[in-house]
Amino acid sequence: MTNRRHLVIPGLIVAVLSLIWDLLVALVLHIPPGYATTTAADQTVTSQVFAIIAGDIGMAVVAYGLYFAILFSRQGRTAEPQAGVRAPSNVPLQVGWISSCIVLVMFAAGFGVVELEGQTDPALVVPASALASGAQHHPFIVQVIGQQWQFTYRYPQYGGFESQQLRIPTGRLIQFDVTSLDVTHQFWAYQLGVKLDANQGINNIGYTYVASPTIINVRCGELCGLWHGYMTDVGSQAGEALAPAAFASWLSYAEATYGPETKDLPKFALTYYPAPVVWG
Amino acid sequence: MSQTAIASGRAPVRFSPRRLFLTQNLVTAIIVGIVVGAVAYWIGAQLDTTDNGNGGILLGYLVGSAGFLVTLGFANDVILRLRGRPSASIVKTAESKGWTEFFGISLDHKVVGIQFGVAVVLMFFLAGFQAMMIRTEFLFPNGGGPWPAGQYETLVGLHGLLMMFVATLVIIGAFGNYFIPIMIGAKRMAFPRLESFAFWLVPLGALIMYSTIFAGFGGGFPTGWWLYAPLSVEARIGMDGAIVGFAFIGIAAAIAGINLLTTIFVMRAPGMTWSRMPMFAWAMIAVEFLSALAPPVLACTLMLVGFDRAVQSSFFEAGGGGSGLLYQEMFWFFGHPEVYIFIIPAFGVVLEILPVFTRKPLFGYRLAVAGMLGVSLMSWFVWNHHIFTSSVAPGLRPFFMTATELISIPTGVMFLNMLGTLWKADLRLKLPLLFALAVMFNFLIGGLTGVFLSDVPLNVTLHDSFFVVGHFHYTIVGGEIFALYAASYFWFPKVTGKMLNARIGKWHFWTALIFFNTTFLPMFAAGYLGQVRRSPVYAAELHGLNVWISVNGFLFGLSNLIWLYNIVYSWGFQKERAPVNPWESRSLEWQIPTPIPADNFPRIPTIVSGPYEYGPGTTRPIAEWPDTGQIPTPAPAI
Repeated sequence: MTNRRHLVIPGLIVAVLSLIWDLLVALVLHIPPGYATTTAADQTVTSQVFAIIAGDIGMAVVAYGLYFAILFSRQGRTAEPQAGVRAPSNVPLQVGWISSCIVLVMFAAGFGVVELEGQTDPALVVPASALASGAQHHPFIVQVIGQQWQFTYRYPQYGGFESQQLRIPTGRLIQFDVTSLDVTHQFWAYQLGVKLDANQGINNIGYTYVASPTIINVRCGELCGLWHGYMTDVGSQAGEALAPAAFASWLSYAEATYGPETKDLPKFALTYYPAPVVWG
Repeated sequence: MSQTAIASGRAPVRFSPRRLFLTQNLVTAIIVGIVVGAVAYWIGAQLDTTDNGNGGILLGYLVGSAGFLVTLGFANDVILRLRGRPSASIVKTAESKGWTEFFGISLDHKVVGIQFGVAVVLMFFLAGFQAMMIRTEFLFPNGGGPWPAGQYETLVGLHGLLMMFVATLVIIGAFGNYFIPIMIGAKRMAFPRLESFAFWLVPLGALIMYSTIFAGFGGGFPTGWWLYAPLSVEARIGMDGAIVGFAFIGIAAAIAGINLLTTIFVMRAPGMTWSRMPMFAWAMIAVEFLSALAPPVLACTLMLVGFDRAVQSSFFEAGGGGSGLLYQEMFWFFGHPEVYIFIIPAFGVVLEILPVFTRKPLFGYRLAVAGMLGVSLMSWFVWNHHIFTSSVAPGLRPFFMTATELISIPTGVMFLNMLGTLWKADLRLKLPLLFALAVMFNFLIGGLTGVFLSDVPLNVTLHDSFFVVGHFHYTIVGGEIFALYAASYFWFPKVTGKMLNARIGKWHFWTALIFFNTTFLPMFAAGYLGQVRRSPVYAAELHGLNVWISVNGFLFGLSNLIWLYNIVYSWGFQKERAPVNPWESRSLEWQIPTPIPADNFPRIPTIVSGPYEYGPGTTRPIAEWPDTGQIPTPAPAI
């Protein structure tokens, strides 16, 4: 066979497999975390793009490698001695390979930077349809406090009361202020596409915009001690994003129930330092 | 003087450090270490200003370790010099001391290589057994498995830390120490005493780490292998062993790095130009820059944790003015170069093996060298991708994301080398080549999934999930451990004079490849579906997936037992001797007899051609041998 056929045949195989893979990823597979929020949607779309690119590249390398390994193997051949062909280092091929890699990498980096802005800039987290109302300037703030071994939530815009369930409204920019009372935890709100480390003495801020009501499963993602594995909650006991009317109803209930206890809590602050170190 | 030496007219000289005391051996070293350590613990406990006993424990570990190393003989030369006497010569005798030389200080790099190999492989199987214990927990949902929460966390930490020890040193320590001097035409390492010292830190570090599980109520450690502060500062006394053990391995890696770098730079044979150097040696250069510079950062960081624990210095406690985030930055500044310390030697092994079994020159030799050096350099600039979610300055994230994605360019060069070398080759599908190809396949998956993690928005979903667990097992186990398999099948005949059994080897290959992939590939799905790493609790709908992963993990563990059986059977029971050069390799280590003489070469050869000049028309030997004339290289491929 000529050189060209040795390159075309695996290329055709790759083309067919890639097409199948691309269609699967784009149209069939449900890639988490889904579309409940703008941040989750960005992550889902990014996953699809990266899965398509990575899958196509991976299949190409495997197909060519396997094809060459089988075709040029001397297993099962007759005993005619054959020496390997000395091939020069093909400089145009090397340049082409590296150039292609650079193009792909810069595309991935550029795509990532654009998506990153969409996760961190409030004006981009809020969908375009809500910008006119100035939603990006009026976030709903929830302070997430990590401690061994649960998350609690304070609402500074409503007197600073604290609850053990996360409740947020849909249709508003949500700002999470995450901190820790003790060791490093990690607030992972799965359906929201939000993951923020809770560090001692640091206020870690993240944003999201919830389009429609959803349950929020909350997990701690950072090893934080003995019961780290159990620092997880699922279902509405963990968290919920509620439509405005339902949220207003919950807010009334929460202010009435948890509000009186606020006077026993430390004054609201962005971070809470542990008890001072005692010397001597 | 030995009769052999007298007859040859060459005077043998002492090979091992002189013993200052008749009782300097491993047993006395252990006894002295324990006694001295206990005394130091008592003294430290009296001086301790805290009520948690950390000061005494840390002092006990450190002083006890010093006592062990001094009694073993590492201070002998210093003491001799202080007394005005010459230190031990380092030229080797012709006589072997038998099996006892593996249980003390040896200045023969081949002995140290075997010491490293055996110790690290033992650690690999111990850590692998712990992996089986971890996966047993996952057979039961909701953490209903056999290990209580504290024990599970300690298991995860021990498995992770011990595997870090293995991954850091298995190829550098065993194959690097054994073969690099021979491959570059040197009679020994640049710093043989340091080389042996680096080895003895390894079992010391591992034993100290394991001692934590015997600390009673405070035993074990809850932090995993990252030892994140402030949890590591506040944890109970079992934490001290993990800190000291890990620091010792870091120091061992740094010493090995300095030693190998110096050896390659300074002790190459005449004619061994940079363009004639084997790829494995280039890999050692690329990795030892990392190994010499990154682990000291770890050692310093852990020292600060030790201070926080023992004397409440608050480097990493916010309440005292410190920062837990500072620990994360310092740790990952070491941690990312560390993972390239794992994989670059694997690249070296693969690129060393490929030309031998394709019978053609390595495609893109210079590009491969540039790739490995490029990976080594760029690995210093990407560490933040491990802590994207940790409130680092937002402006830094695009930089680290781009840098992490750019590092895939030099890494991807290896695949071009592979494909180019396979193109129109004359492949001999022997086990070393099969495992080398498996390395490339596994690393392809590991590398591509790394691109997912390098993207900050995606990292939000995937960080600290089982996706990451799958990714690093594909790169480290699928990359480096499979390269270890390849290296073992390739170099076993040179070390032992026996071939690893090919039939058992094929069973090993197929079971390892299949069950490795069926174990770790589904982890990407588990991560996407929200399963958190280091937690035995997972959603009920993921139970079936976890059972599948566990069962296949057990089967992958069994495949490693097949490998172990092959090693023991072939080395211990197989009678047939291997040919001197069974692979018809041009590399220098295959041009000398097996067993390799004590000083490697009677006379240093002069290198006259490269190691990969396979193919038709090959007539130049790799080296000219003084006094004995040329030794012809193997005939061209048949």
